[in-house]
Amino acid sequence: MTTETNPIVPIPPPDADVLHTACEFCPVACRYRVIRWPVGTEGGPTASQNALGIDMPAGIGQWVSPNMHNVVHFDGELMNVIVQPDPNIDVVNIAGEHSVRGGVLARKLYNPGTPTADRLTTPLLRVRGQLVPISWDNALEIFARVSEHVLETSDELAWGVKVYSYQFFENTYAISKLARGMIGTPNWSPHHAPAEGDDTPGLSDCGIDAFSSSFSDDKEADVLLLVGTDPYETKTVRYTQWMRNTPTVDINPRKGFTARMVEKQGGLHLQLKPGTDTALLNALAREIIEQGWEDSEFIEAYTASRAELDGEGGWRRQRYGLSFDEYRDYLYSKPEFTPEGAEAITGVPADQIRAAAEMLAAPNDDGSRKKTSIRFEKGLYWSHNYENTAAIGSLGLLLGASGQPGRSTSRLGGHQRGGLSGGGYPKDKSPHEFEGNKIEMDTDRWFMEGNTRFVWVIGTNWVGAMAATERLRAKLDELTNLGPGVTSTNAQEAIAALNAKVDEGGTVIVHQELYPNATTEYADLVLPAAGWGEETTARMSAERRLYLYEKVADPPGEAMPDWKIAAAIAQRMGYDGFDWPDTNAIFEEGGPASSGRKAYNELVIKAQEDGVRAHDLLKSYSSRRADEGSYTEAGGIQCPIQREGADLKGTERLHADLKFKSDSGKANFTLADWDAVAERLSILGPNGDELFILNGRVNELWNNLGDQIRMAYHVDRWPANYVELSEADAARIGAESGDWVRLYSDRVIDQLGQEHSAEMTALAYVTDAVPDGVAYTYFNYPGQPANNLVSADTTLQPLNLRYNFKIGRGKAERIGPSEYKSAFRMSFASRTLV
Amino acid sequence: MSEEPRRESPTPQERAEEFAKARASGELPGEGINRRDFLGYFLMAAGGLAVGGLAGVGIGHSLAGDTPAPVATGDTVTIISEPVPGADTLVFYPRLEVAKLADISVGEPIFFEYPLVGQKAALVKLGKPGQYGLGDDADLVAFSTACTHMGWPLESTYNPDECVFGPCPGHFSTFDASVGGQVVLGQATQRLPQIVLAIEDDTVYAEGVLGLIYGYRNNLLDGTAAEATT
Repeated sequence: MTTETNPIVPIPPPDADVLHTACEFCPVACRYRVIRWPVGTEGGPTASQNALGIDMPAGIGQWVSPNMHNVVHFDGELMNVIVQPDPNIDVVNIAGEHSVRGGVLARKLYNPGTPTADRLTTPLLRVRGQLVPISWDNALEIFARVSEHVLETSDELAWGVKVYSYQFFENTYAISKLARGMIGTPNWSPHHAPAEGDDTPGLSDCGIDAFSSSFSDDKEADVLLLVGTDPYETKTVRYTQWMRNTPTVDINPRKGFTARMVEKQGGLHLQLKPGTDTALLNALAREIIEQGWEDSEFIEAYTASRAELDGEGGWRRQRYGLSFDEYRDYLYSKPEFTPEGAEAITGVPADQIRAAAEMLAAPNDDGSRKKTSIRFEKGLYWSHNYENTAAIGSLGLLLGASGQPGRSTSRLGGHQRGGLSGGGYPKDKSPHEFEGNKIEMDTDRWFMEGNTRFVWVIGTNWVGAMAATERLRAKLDELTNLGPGVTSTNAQEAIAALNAKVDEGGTVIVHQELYPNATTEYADLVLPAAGWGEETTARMSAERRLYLYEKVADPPGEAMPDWKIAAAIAQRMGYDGFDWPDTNAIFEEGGPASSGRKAYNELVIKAQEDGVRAHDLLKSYSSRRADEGSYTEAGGIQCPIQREGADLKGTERLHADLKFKSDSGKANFTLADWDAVAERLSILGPNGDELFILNGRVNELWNNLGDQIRMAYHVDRWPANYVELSEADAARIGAESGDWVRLYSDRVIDQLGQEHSAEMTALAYVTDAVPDGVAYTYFNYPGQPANNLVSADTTLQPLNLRYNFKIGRGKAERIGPSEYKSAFRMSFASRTLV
Repeated sequence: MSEEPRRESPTPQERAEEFAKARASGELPGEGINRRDFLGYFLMAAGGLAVGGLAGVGIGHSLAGDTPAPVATGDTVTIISEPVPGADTLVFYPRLEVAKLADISVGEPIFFEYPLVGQKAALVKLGKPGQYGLGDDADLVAFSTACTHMGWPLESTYNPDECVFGPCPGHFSTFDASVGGQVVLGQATQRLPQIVLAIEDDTVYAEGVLGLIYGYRNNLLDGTAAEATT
């Protein structure tokens, strides 16, 4: 048992409030029902006596577990809250299914009697080294006046924003309207990268949208190709509800749970050496062409010829776009792409490559074409960003896997999609370029070069989430400690001291968050934010299903939603257009700015015609069932939203008209240059007794663990970071499961191209999930960040500034036994049993 | 790399004694759980009988109508009760015989229902010490076999090599029987409830539950008391 046993779940009375929301965490966005009622009242155990509508005991999928209950404040009143999977939904998470992350959502809500007690509840100013409470009025004054000083004495490139890309449309719209629209800074980067821009540029250059599929395609497909992802652990309900019964070829250097299930069900797991995806994908493509299994009709009709490519405007497509003939010629020009040649590089046996090509592309017995879909995630696109995404997009086109039921090429997603631009990114102001073409600003490099005077960090742990984080911390330590230091909570004195720091070349850090994290250690000013469940907001899932998240509880203390903070700052700085009364007003204003896969403006227009609020119209879709209408308008509505007469119509998959994202409307193959990959891998890969130290997610944990570290249930399972080691690698360093291990490297390349040493610690977990020479660890555990061991030199892939997060390296050394080794505290049982 | 001495594990006998003492004092080893949590919730019988905090020994003591007197024998202190005759709710956890020690083999689960009919559970001899494990080898443990994710049955999933229940046939949650039912991998939002066992002479008894059994608001309510299987 954990110490937080909480064996009581009170029964909601029949008249309890019932609200709707979706999960905070993974991109599946399972639908949840919230039942809220005053503490002190309770219903009874029969269906007519409770708001659950069930007789107790509860049946399969009906139970409210203790972790689905909490006590919160709403409108100042003490309320019971149950957050359980919505049992009435027949899309996404059917029949009350949930992941372990969503199943514990209720425990995310603030309750000072739980580990959430350390929420930031009031603005804080660092005075004489300590963070002390100040008023919102003073906090806004300091933010505005110091920002103005930076913009006056430097320019907008010195004023930066590091912000989540996904925490609800209304927040991202308000923040970007201020920072990009009003201030006009290119010093803007999302939580996961040092620069704004495309995460899957090679796929985009093929003309394919990264979120083109629906979950229904996973089930409809005859065969799936999975690359660089373990969806059971990371997009759980999409896997268990939609993917698990589809025959699959799984490409992953780890043989985790999903890979084992794929094999158990007759599929193939290609366990390639880390970083060699481009060679393997190109080899699969070559073998498919060799066998004549490509979709010639699709290629002929919907992919661009050389003449059509020459008419394309984008420089990347001009440089890397290929006609089918050119693509085929490239694949045949290199011995690395024969099955045997690829085996030598990737370690995947040539016969397995042939078998995988057959499974993916050979016609059915009746000669018809197999419906093939491709799904991938960060294991692929955060190792060799451009080449790997070009290779997967091209393979998708070869198979005609786009725009048709069961036939799509798509990311699975890392988080939900909640980015809405309130001001375009001013790329023309970026100081960075590639071969004369402007590219987005590398904000980490700019900071490390000492050019950034002010950073507004919103809802992310900058120093844990980026690469070569040890160097980032060292630079923050240097630049935040310049100047005279703030010695008074008096706003004018504080402004003078912070402006003096700016004048001396220092950097002012504002951290806007739910909880303090490693970035807060460097903050001059801390602004308390409100999060999931504390405001009514909208967002969409990886299948573009737009949904309204209703407010469940009050934010603690003086914490405010990010949109409200941004609006208050903007008004303090004298900008017009920030006087929204509520999130619905922002959602409606942002409608015309929503575009492409996120386009929802038809909903706003219809709401205005009907004389209702757009949020309320969206809410009316929350409880709709697919069996009463359509898959695309159930449990929300799939974007882009279209108009059909008087009704709104969702979009099940993109490219259904077989039009692609290019000037000509045609798709095209894209060069996935193995030589460039091989050269980069030789710089980043391990030597001698170094291991590949891969990082990623584990089921229970989420991003920087802002929530999970405050959930007793999750800390019980993962009291510290862990590292998967093969039996041989563990034996080599004398480690057993439960021993502390030190992972270290003196060859981490920093943001400016310099090598330095760094390390992290983790609990050894000896497993057959990883092969010899490969370790795997959680990417961003507080105090044990794996990104310490990841190089941060973006000049290694200079045309699109993304870190090679998934190619860490280093050595391992046993430290000694941990408290978890023999005290029945933590299971080290196999996580690969199927 | 310095080789640090590995912490000495307590012997099975020491562990059993620690367990019994902890239970008597209301604390389980290293867990900080009070007696109330540990024994689950003692709901009142129809007559409003309060029994929380009692410690007694004596098999067959009836609770109908009166308060059982606490009797301690040595440092083995347990709560003993029986279903309330004529009532459809339990007053508190009954002691039910589960198996004779002689009939238990490593890796071969023995199934029973506890404390209510339909609340399926399995007794297993792990073959290695387990959390709260009883017996000479500290390896006798028992768990509810209703998956705490969505209630699917785990009866047929015990894996004696890894000492786990699972993967669940529904959505693959897997629970470590040697670490108090902790989720090894999967979607369950609670450990698998561990059945509190006692050994007296040659017999293993169930006499409590750690954690809420899937489907229940209270392990003792909304059902009929189970009867001993032997």
